[in-house]
Amino acid sequence: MKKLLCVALATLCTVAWSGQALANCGTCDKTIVQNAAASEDFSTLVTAIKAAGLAEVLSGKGPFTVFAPTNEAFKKLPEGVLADLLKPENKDKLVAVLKYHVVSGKVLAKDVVKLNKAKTVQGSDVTIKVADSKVMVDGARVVKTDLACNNGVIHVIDTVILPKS
Amino acid sequence: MKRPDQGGPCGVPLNLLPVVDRPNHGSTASTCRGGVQTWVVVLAVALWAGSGWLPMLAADSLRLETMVIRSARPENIVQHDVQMKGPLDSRPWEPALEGPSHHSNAFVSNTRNEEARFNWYALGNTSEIPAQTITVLAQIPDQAPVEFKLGKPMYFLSMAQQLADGKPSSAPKQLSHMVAYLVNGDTRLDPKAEVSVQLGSATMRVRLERPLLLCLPVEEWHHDEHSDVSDASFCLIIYETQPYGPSDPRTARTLDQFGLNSLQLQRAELVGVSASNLRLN
Repeated sequence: MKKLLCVALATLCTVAWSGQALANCGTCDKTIVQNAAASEDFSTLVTAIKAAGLAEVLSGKGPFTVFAPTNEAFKKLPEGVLADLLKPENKDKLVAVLKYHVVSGKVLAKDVVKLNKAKTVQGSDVTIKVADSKVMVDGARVVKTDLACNNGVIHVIDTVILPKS
Repeated sequence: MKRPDQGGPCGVPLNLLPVVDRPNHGSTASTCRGGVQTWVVVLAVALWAGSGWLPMLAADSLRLETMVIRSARPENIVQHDVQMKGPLDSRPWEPALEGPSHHSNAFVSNTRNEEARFNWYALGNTSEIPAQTITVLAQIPDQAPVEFKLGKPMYFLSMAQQLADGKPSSAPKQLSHMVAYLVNGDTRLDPKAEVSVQLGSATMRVRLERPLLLCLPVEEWHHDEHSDVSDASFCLIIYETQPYGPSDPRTARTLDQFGLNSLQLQRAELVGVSASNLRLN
């Protein structure tokens, strides 16, 4: 009986410590969408997510890893491309592009750099490489990493990546 | 955030460099020629002296190749709380980290393609710890074991990788995250104590001024990740030195548990020497 009590107490302590470890993170009590919406750098991405009808999915349990392009990244797209993607008749294309930025599971930067490629929710693989001290996902540079969310993690990229097909 | 060139918390200057080969305890044990009788005597003495001596017998294949510790100016200043528990703690505690304020390199595995550096984070909301003394033996020739009184915990040393080309190496399994405590009390040192320091392809001798910090391995919880202590006997003594090495800043791209960062590294003023934790009193 004493043993059982000790085990129960140890378990409770462990759970309590783990819970505390989430404190004061700043982002980890919010979803991917909530964190993106809270940052001025991702207003275009959030607009696109809503237009594609993916806000609910990316607010779900996940976990997901999102390579999030900044507003500046969207500005690098050829003129008119973003506007076209946001048209209702192009919703399928927009969904495909956005899903190409999402990997299933929570993949932290320390694990991303060990990969050569990762399968996206869209179905195609993104290539990953470390070159000249930079981490690249397809043609995009990873500029900030490991923004912890309660349903995954965000890595910030400087270029919108597009599926080959 | 206190900048490196302003000195660390409590006026502790922070830049550092060391290099000393770490003896391979495992190899020493395996080449012992005394046979079973010798081992019986060794174990008996170890048990007699207290369990604190036993970790010395642990096998190890880490090499401290040129541990250069420099103050750092990070591109992204990380502010984060984590939980940790070291040999001085009865339960986990949760300091606020800010940094990296320093960066040090590089522990290399002798047997595997593994290496790790440390990004140093200043510890906030900490207080003096209850009086603790610790006996350690630095891996410096002709040095006797020394007893340090430990003061306030100052830095959290998070294992880090430096990015270049290709996948970064994994961290040696013998390494753990560490906490650096101020050392008080008898910090006298042989005035001729020196260590060799490797800077690029050059080796130079650096005179040790006084021990400043003692780093002990800690268990850590960060979100849903937990890292354990691999070798409880391993510790690092950080000594003050005169500034040495290149004075021009250089940039390092690092990756640790808080993500990618770009660090502008300053000139070194500290040297870290590996040591064995003999006894916690």
